[in-house]
Amino acid sequence: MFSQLTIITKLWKASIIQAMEYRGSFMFSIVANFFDFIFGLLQYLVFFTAAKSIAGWDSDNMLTLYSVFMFIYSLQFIFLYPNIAALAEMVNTGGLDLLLSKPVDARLFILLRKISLEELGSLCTSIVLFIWLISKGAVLITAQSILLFLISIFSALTIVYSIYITLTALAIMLEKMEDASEFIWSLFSFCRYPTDIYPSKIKFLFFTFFPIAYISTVPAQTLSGLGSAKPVIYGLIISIVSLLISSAIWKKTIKSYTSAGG
Amino acid sequence: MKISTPNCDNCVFTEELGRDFNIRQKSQGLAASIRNFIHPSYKLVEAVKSLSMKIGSGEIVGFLGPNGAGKTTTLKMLSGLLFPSRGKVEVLGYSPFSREREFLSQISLVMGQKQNLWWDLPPVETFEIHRSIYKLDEKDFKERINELIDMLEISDCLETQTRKLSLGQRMRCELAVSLLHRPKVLFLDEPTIGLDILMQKKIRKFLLEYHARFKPTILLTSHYMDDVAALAKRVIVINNGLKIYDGLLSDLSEKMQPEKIITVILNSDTFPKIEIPNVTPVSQEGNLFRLKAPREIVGKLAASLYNTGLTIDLTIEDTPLEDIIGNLFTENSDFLKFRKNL
Repeated sequence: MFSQLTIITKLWKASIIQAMEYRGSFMFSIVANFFDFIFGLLQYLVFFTAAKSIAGWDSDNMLTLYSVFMFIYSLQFIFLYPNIAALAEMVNTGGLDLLLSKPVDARLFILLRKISLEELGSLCTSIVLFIWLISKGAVLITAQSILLFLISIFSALTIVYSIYITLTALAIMLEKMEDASEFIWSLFSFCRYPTDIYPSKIKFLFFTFFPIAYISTVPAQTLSGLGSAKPVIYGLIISIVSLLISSAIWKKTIKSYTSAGG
Repeated sequence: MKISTPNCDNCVFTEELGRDFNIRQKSQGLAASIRNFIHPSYKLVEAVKSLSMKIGSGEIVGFLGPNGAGKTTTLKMLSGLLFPSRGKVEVLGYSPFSREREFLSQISLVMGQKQNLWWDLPPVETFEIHRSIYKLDEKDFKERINELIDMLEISDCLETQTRKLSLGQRMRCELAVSLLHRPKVLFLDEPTIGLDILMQKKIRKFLLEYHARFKPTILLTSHYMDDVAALAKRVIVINNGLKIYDGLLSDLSEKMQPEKIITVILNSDTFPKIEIPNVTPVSQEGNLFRLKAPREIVGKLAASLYNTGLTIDLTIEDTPLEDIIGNLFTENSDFLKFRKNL
């Protein structure tokens, strides 16, 4: 595993060098994504000029949710998104063949070989926002809440990773799936808001078959004093099940891989 | 999992290996597209029907066949990319599709139309990534890369972005990346495709030198018969997913084309009368004549032509390899008739 991480680190380094070849585009992307973060934040502040709370979430709770959401969103955008965006071309041009012929963990390499620093600004700002919330006492800091928060962040990242494995497997299986990125945008647009704002049937869906509640709502609840340990434990179980299911789909996909041409 | 079978002496071993694909079929037009969208129809294509072969350690084998014969599919099964539909396959004693790292560390797949090199980065960066992938220590890496740089003459393009390299430079760098870990088995799929004649010769010369030094087993596919003639003594010919010839290239040439081509330039544009049977005229361009004659009488024919006193120049050649191989795949070829009669 350590040697795999060493190789991936080198691939990331190569990705950064590659991105820096186009200096103007590189800088513009970082600045543009930073402003995207700021506009998102302003949207929340506008809500609270008209109401004191939304579905039981006050402004501090919502800012906690936003910092958690942007943290997870930026991480997936930096590490996972660039790879799925490039996957369809890789399958069609046969580049995947060469990657599969290397003595590496193919799944890890397909999902993590490229890195995009465009969301670096958003990642840093989400951390700054989170530290500011701690400093003003808006976040519940106890041993239990920190432990639950860390578990829920682990579950959130595992669920996002599993979704990416499944989408990657589908992209390989279907050979053409440029709309995978659209699916990811839609998924994360649901995560921007607490699941409490939705009717109970949709909320049930978000906690079970389409478990996006565990991506931002549940981690934010642990630090806002709005939740309990129960959804965190459910989230952990669902994340492990998601990982197992996506791994099985991956194995089946690689076995039925037909390669390009020839 | 390494397989312990009596076949371990064979570096590459297949027995009745086959691979099928379900190919979606669609007629022309929008209506057909809509029908096909609702009820897709598939056709089962046997890309490789049944292929048995044994390749010993250190051999160079030319793997020939027309487009769609199943060559690349076979190479992909041998390198663990495709799961076989039937049959047995072992490479270095491993089942390729288990894709064990130990196995993948000992093979290399070079595809002339696909690249390992990072497009926007100079080749040195890709070399460094491959150093980590194959866990080479600094000393080994430097020694190997310097050796490959010398052999491939690529010292001038190592620090130039890959996208700015010529096709020939790129292919040589591609070979350097693929051979950095000194693979025991090398699958070369059209390594000289698109290259000019000079560059093809350079690549062939390099491959011969590399093989002489490190003795890897090489399975080579190429549509350029010069590649095959220069590198491989043995060829395996497949067509429609079936093996139709496995043996020495020289034997194939003799069996398939027992005649030689004689080109003669005379000081007259009238060909003299020669009393030798089985000589067939092929063409005439002024005073240049081409004839075909059985191998055993070529000497006698040449002597007769010199004895006429009209001969300015005379050359004797084998039928081009392209024609011999091409003849293997024609419906009415002698070889296919011979196979049908077996």
